[in-house]
Amino acid sequence: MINTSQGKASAFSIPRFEKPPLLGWLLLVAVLTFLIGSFRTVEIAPERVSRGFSRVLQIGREMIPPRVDRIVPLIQQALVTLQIATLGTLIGIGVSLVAGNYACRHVSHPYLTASIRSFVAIVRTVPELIWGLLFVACFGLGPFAGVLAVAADTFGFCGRFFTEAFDDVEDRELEGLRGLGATPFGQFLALILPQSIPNLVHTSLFALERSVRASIVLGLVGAGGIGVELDVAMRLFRYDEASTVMLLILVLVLLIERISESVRRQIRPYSQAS
Amino acid sequence: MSKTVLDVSHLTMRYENQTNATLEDVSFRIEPGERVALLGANGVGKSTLFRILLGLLPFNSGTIKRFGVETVGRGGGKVLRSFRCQVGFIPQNHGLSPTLSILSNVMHGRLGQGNVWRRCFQSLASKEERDEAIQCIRQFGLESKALSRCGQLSGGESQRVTLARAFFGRPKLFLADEPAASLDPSIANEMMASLSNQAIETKATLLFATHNLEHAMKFSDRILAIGNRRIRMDAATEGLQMEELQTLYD
Ligand SMILES: Nc1ncnc2c1ncn2[C@@H]1O[C@H](COP(=O)(O)OP(=O)(O)O)[C@@H](O)[C@H]1O
Ligand SMILES: [Mg+2]
Repeated sequence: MINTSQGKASAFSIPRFEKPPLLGWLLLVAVLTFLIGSFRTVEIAPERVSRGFSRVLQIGREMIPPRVDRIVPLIQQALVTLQIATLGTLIGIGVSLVAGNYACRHVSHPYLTASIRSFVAIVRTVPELIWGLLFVACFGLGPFAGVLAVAADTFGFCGRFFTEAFDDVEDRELEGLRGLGATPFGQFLALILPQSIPNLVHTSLFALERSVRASIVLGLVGAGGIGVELDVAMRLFRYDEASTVMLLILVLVLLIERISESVRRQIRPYSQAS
Repeated sequence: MSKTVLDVSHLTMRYENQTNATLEDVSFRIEPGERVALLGANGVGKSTLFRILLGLLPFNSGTIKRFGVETVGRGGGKVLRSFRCQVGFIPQNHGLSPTLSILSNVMHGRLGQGNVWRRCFQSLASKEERDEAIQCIRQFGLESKALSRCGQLSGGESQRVTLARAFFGRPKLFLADEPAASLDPSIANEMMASLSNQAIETKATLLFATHNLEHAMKFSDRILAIGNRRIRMDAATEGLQMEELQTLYD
């Protein structure tokens, strides 16, 4: 007989939750302890929150109106940030393309493929700020370290997604070129790369957007650009100048997003063709 | 007399993930200038045989001599590639580069030889090669679309591009895997006629797979049929009756 839900539900009830095993209880206790510990560590206290909030209002008042007497050098620094971002992204993309060819399962040796993939994964796990600190330590303060940090960050990102785009090409699509005697690089150049172009453009534009944000933050560790100005203004309590910098950053980020959006619209028909 | 183009003996091949062999104890020879039709029901292993002949798939036992040369096992990559460079392969799934132009795709017929970049993109090609490729495209009436991307073409048009690509390589051997499949009867006929004529004119050898018995009768000198993993028929086309071919599918 089939048990209907309208029937005697209590007679055959199914528990809402499964009883957790002992290990589950222990895990729960551990997680709770950790959370309580976290609250302790960050010292959340009502009076702290209210005090901080009044500071927020005060700083907010000091930020208005933004100070514009140094607007020209600030715009120059914003341009430097843009240059760091674009140059670093381009280098990162270039390296990713070369690495992608050697990491592509269709045209490369499995060992080489695996080692390049692991290398890219390692690069990716390091945050851009740490790359910044590292390169500033090696090459000194300034945009050069910033470009390298952005390039490393872009490589970690594009290296992975380019390789995945190349791998999406199917074996049987390559059969034709292989049967005509194409070398592995020939196959890459003639089919794998062109087929992936729409995908690569998307990834690259996204990488550029990331890089602009990254290169702003990189200024905070001394790797050049508008971030340095923000750092200095905040340290000297010049909140009115800091707000000018923030507005410039906003404009910069919006600008890049607009540009990449319009390029994306341009290439849409190409991605549909394949 | 020049060397036997293909000399296959006792070839057995089983896909790794399958229990039964796809081809078993297959032997045949193809001499220069012959036009051979390969018949067999769907899934009988025609495409598999083409892949093996091109060295794209390993086989389990037997030997294959290509232009008299045997490559041992999976190795001999150089030898295999130089063989492939003499082949005009027309794959069953066209394998064209959808984002590149017809002209670039046709130039890929010689991708295995010379400068990769100049053989890959029409805009980088030398004038002579470019003109030659255009000539191949004109043969199929596609010159007005030479710079269109291949992703936009109809099935019939892409099939023509794969033929033009094969012709451009000036091969000694055409391997055509169902070159007329999924085309309307008149275009299919036209396609087979140009392939067969090209083979005759350039004194090339032709092996083509087909399900069209009329094409097999009309465009071949010999008929090779696979059935039940083995060669089921290997006979001169002359003197064969349509009814005999039909029994291959029973
Ligand atoms: N990559 C593969 N892996 C395993 N089995 C395959 C593969 N390709 C084809 N086969 C099998 O081999 C048989 C022959 O396929 P195929 O050569 O494509 O036949 P045909 O071209 O004559 O239609 C089919 O049964 C098919 O399922
Ligand atoms: Mg087939």
